[in-house]
Amino acid sequence: MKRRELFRRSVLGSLAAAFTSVASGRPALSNPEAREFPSGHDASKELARSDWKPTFLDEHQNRTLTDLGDLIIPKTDTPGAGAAQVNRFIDHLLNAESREIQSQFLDSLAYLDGACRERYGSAFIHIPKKHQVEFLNLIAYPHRLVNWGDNRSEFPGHTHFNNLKDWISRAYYNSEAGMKELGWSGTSFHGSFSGCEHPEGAHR
Amino acid sequence: MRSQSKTVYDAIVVGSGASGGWAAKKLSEAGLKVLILEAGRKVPPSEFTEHMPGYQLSYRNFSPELARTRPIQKACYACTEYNYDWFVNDLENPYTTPEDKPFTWQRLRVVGGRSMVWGRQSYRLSDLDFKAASHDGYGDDWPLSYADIAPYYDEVERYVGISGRNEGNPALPDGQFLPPMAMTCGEKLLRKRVSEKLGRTVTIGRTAILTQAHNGRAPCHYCGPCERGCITASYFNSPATTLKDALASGNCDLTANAIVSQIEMDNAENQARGVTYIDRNSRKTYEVKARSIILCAQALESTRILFNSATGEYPDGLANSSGVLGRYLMDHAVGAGASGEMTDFDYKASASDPRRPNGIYIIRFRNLAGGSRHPRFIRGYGFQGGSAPKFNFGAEGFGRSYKEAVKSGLYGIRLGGFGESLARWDNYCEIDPVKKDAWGIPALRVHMTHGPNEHAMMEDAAAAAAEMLEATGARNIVMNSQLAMPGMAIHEVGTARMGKDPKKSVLDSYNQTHDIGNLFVMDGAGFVSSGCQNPTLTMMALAAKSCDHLIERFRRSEV
Repeated sequence: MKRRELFRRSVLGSLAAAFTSVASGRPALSNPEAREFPSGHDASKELARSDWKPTFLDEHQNRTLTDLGDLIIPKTDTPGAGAAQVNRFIDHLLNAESREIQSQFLDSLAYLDGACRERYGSAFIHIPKKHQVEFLNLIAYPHRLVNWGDNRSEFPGHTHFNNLKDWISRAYYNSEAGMKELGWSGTSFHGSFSGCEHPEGAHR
Repeated sequence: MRSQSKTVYDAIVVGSGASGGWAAKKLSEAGLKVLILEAGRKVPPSEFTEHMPGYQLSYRNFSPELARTRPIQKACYACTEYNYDWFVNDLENPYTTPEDKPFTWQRLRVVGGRSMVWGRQSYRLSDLDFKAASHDGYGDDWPLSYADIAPYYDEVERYVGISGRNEGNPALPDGQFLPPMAMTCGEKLLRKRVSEKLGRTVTIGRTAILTQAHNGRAPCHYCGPCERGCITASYFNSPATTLKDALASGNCDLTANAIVSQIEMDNAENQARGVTYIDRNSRKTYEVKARSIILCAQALESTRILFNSATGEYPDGLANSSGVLGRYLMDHAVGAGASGEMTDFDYKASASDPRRPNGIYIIRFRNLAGGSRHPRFIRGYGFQGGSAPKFNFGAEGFGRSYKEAVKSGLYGIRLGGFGESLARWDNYCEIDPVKKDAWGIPALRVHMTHGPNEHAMMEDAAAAAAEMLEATGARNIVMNSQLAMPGMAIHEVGTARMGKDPKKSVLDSYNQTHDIGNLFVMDGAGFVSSGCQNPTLTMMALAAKSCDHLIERFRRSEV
């Protein structure tokens, strides 16, 4: 079975199951066939298609996510979020996520534009990189607002930033490029686990 | 329409996990004709994904499918995008709880059951556990002692292959171990400081993973995620070991996708005559016959079958003349502990490092025989944990500095407590009056809370964990004294307890129901108390012991 077909089956299958269970009040039986992963199975290849287009995000949201990804995980001596197609994976995952998680993501993305419009007069992707970095510096760290005589209030920017950063970081470090950056060499067979190799008594 | 099989087996074993595997192996190798009924399907090795990197999965191991069809199962670390269809579909397999008593029930329905994904930690109970009531006056002693089960611990350990280290600590009896796995620098320091400053024993986890070739299986190659299957069969699961032996004996049949709905009785003789099962896929109903029935379906599931097999003679559930069936559900208190960072070591994590699928264990040190008694709780707890370098994905900031911080990482250290869950009458399961599973079989309603003893114990465990990390020189120590939801240890035992008195217990010391001479429950349902040690090794040893007894009874034509 082609991967696309596998994916279509799993998504449509689960939607159909959810629908049946609502309609009949009785859960539909899951497909008894196991999911198998034939050798060479690699879902990430699907995302690398030259004719790729976002399916969940609109063009503006996709560009915002792409710009943000390259600022949070830039290309250094290792690839960045762009080369790892982090935006494509997130679009793919969001497409299958619950409405609640989808709206949390879109809210955080919308926060970026709202705050940038207020501060710089334009959406995040239309302000100069200098301002993008300046803005991220404002929201990237824990940030508590305290006024004399007032209750403490949390700064929403950091929450939205962390939400988006969490998606980007997970997508990147679980991509092939990200895993390689963390040292993954493609082999899983290790002869032994040597643990501490210091002489007995070295740790006091 | 019900199809009846003409074959009469000597024994039907319901469930093919750790204990069912042992029952099938012992009985079939002794020449008895055995049928194993397993509610789930077979898992071919082509489904093992332990070496498959996450990026090759559709959702890089973040699949939303888990939230849809496994909203309960996904709480288990082992239930992932790789293998979630080994776990039950929660929509098809419901159970209920009172609103104020949440309980999480983690289940697999595949050949091998939970042995496919278990945590593999293997510890003996001692007489501090078997005779706990004599020690502190709470509850009941087991109807057997350590000396009765010790030879079976030996037998099971020798066959399974448990790596570990003997420590000579009476609270955790030594065993027949393969060479231990190595400790990291942080763990060696923890062992040394905790021993010197606090007199407690930190040992390497005793785990059902091979450190050398054993019984035709290869040693561990340290790839890490055992719960996704193992092509070298280096961790113990029943399909690669006990079931394989049973099937090779020529005396054992295995029927997969057979969901047992009830036990059939010969009321005149007061004997079980067989079981009825529903084929998972075709939904057709079958009856199979045997001279003895052995439930190894997992504590709650076996008890559910007994409740659903009620007859005119046993209106409150089969073999439940005592009224004790379903009562005394236990699951270790978990969630409390502490974590921190070690700053003495400058090792960096690398995704290419070997991954040891094991941690350290701290042997119970509270309320020991002959020692002082804690003023706030009875019984005790042990810890599992570890210390190793890890990546710092949670680092603040963004850009180049974030990437560097992730890779620089931390040298973490953590301890998580496993506390004894007291056997209480008011922790119980029953049949829900309304809810049925997708095959029309009445579902369970589970009532369980952790009580004041577990709460006081876990508060002490959190403080003791922090104290031990402090003694080791850890920084940024964070404590957690919050208990996880009951069920989260996935060590549920009890509900068909053993005992000498048929009025106060369901099973005798050989896992036979007091009421019905050819009906047995050989999984964790028979536990009288939970100890604080992971229960699977004890379940396997009890099953082996009880099967030897049953084989003897067959030889004497008593069954």
